[in-house]
Amino acid sequence: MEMGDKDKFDLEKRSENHINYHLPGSVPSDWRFSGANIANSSLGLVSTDNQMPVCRGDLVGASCSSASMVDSFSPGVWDHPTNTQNLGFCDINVQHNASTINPIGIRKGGPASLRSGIDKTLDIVWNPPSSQLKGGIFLPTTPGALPQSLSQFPADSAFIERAARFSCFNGGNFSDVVNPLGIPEPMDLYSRGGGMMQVPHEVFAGSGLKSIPGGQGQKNVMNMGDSSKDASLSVEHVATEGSPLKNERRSGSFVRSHDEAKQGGSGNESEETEFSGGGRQEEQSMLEGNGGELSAKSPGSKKRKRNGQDADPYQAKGNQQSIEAAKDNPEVQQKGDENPASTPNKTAGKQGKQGSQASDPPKEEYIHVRARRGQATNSHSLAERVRREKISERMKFLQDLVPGCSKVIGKAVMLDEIINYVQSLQRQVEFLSMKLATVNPRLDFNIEGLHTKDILHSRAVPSSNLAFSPEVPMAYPPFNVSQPGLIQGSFPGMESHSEMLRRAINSQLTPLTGGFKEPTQLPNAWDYELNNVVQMGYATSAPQDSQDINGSLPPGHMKAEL
Amino acid sequence: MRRASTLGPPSDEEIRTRTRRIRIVSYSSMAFAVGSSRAWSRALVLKIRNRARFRGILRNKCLASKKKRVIKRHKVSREMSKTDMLRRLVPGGAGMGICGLLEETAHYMTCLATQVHEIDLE
Repeated sequence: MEMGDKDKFDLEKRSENHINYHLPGSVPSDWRFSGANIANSSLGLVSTDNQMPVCRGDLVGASCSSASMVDSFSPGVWDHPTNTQNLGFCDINVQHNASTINPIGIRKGGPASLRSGIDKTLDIVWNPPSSQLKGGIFLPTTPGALPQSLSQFPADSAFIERAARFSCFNGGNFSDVVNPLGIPEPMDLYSRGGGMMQVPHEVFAGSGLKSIPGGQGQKNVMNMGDSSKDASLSVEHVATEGSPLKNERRSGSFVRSHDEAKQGGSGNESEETEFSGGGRQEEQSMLEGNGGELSAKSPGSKKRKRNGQDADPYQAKGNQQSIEAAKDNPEVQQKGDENPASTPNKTAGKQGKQGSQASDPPKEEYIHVRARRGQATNSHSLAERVRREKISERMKFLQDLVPGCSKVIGKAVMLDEIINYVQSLQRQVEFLSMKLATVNPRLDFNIEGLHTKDILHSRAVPSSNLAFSPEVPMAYPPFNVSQPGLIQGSFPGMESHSEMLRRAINSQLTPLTGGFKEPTQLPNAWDYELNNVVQMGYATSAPQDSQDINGSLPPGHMKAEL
Repeated sequence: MRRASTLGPPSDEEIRTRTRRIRIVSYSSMAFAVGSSRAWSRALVLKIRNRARFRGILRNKCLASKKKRVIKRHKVSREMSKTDMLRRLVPGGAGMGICGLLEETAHYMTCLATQVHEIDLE
């Protein structure tokens, strides 16, 4: 049965299978989940590949490990209760296999590969799900419901297109899933192009977003038209990631995300962030959806090459958004820039990461990491994605710092600018020090005196500092002169004093290696003195300088929020 | 202690020495102000400290291996990537990944800018 069903799906899938689905057999659970999610969220979501209708069925079935699953997916997707059940089940699976299956399931290199992958996953899936599904199996609420739901949806060309795409993706999965279950119906439904449309529509409807999905579906389809595969992938991701429970929300969010995605990457991100702010899976799913969609489009194609190891389906989605803007954006850019959500998705446990990415990612609190559609679900890929996003975040931050680099886009150019800027700053320091050296020739600064005073009066001078401070003053006693008369101190004298002081400090500090506490405390006083000395030539209040520097630096330095 | 022995215009050597000192002072003051919270400040402090301590030794070594270094530099500069260049610029950047390097660069940049500003005020 499985094979027979699969064959059917194969035909369909192959016809439109553009997406490279990676079906690592190792990640069955995710695949299952993704499949289930896909089915739940909206078969149409994954519509990039029309071939998938079968896949979905398989996925659904596999995850549910029961015909009910299949039913639930196809009709279940549309049925609220069933969906929830599926979702719940999928959730379990998904959580367990964060980001493994989704990308895998989604990326099916080809019907053949899909089949093999599906089979593998199915096998694996079936075992665990069976135990898990017991609770989550939805009863095939209405095997006939599916047809009903399907029929309900008007043969919207857009929907059909999307559905086909999604179905293609899911088709393969479903076939496997369904087969075991022996429920050919869902498969049939999926096989139909129209069915796909309905599914997605249903999905939304189930979530209560009927109106939205309808409109969005079309939109999505259109957008996806660009990269249908991607869209479907993203949708799937959205579906899968959101976990069945969230399906409803996801679909809603997905729909929203779609809208946002349409608006632009930024929009999506904002939404994503908004959602994530809520800290709800919903957001995640949304992001996922968005990310998936967006990513599906461009990154999907790109990511496919990655070998679907990216466990960051969300990222892919987010990236896609950016990708839409610039399809050739490297994944890195996409992910790093656009997918804040993705990062959270990636690492289920990388919530902290999310926190670190305050600007973009916002979303995720916990998110199971899911590989995005068309992205590798490998943990390495996820980590890479996170890393890339981090880097892009920092680059953006640096962009704000370097003057005149607001319009520069790209890491290489930005790096060049940064290097030039740092070099120019260093040259400036050197030039200014030379200027000072020439301006203040032979100024006999009573540095020693100043240092001594500062050291003795330095704030919070630890005993250790005091221990050697007496040593320092000892060297200076001969130079103690009334302050007013010191202003003509020679610069070299000051320098030598500073050096001596420095050496003394260093020698004292070495044994003290208690970290930099002591050294810093003393050096602060010392700097204070030095600054004072430097300013002596100008008869300006010395303390101001050091204070300025000390005060300005701390506030000046940007605590990297990163 | 070196004092202005001659009242004539400072010689180039003197100026160079002074310049070096002032530069060291400014850098060390900057590093000390930041404290040990930053990798680059720590590296800078260590560098200055070591420089002061081993100045004589380093000089000898430098003179001895100057030629080699020159040659090496030529070779290396060609292959050096941007990140490597950045690592060289930012103190303590050699032992960090790109992520940390970028962060340190950002902080270092602001501190340098502040330093320039302060010295300029002088």
